[in-house]
Amino acid sequence: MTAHMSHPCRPGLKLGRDRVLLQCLPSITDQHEAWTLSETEHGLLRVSLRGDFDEASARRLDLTLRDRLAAVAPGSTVLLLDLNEMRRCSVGAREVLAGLQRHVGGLVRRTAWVTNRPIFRGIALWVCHCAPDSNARTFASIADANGWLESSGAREDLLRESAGEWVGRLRGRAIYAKETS
Amino acid sequence: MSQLSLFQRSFVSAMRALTRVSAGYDMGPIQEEMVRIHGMRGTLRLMKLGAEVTSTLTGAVGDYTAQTLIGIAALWNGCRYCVIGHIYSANLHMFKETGNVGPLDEESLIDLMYMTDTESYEALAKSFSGPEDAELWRLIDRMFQLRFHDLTPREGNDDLLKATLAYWEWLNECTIILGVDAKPGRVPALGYMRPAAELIQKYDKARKAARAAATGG
Repeated sequence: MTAHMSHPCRPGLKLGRDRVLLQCLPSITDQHEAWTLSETEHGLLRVSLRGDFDEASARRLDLTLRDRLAAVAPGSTVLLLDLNEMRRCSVGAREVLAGLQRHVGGLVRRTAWVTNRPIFRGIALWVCHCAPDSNARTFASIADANGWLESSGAREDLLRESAGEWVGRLRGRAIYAKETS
Repeated sequence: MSQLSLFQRSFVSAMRALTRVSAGYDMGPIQEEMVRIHGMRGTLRLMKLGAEVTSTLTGAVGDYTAQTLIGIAALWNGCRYCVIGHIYSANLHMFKETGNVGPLDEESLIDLMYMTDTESYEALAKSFSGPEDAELWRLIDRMFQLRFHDLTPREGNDDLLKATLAYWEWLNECTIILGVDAKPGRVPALGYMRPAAELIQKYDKARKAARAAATGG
């Protein structure tokens, strides 16, 4: 795939690959009371979860995604789980999601969990951590998830480097303040 | 989950003992998780950077403000253990210095986390709307912009706020094992406060009275 290509939904509009992935209107391939699975022709699988997400719903999603991914070449797909419409997530559902992440981690190239509610970012972080899957990460918005789905670094490495970089800047500032005082 | 070697388990025991002595509480399985994920050197670096950020932040803005900012950074990551523990610590600092219990009740924090980021921002703005909270609110607002609106750091404390956000995002990778289910009343005052039992008792009594007054009870 080239770095820039025409937007498949709006011919003539040139966009980077991440924009193509995330701005296309995906087609719905499976639907359940608590989630909708959709996909674009560019290798993005998107699962939107909603309402009270319980263990039974999670098990159904688990089976559906496993079936769906059994048919695709490993590494050819990225997965986006949109939790913005989720209101509750049971402990049982959380456990199933961790098992699902463990399984899909070996099949999809990258996973992004997106939610604008901190409580579910915590649950998604727990899922990514317990899977464990270094190619899965949580985000507050779909826009923030774009870069992640296109990148390749391990989550723990990126977080460690970011913390090191910012603390390093503090040290630089402290040294500067000391030298100029 | 990989098993730790005998040497690593000894290292974890030493870390836990050191934390009990220096901070006054036991982090339970968190340090074991740190060693499992980052190794022993990585864990030492993690702890060293944490001490560095906490100390620089506290030096710049004081204990109460520093613990509040850390708690809110952790809130945005979804770690209940850290938000409860650091806000509790902030409240104890406030109570010790002024006799006031602080605007964020530990019991309200989980509800705050169920809100959207915009809703919780508005709730925080309301909680920190008093004239005495003006500087703290300015820092929380700035940290919110840095965290959610990709603001480029350029003001005085922006680097410090970014370091706080970045460090706690890294730390919460491990604390989330307790942070996914933590509840108020079961998390110690985090940081290096080591509150005396008498202070905790007085604070609990004052907090209960404040809750009763708020509900008209």
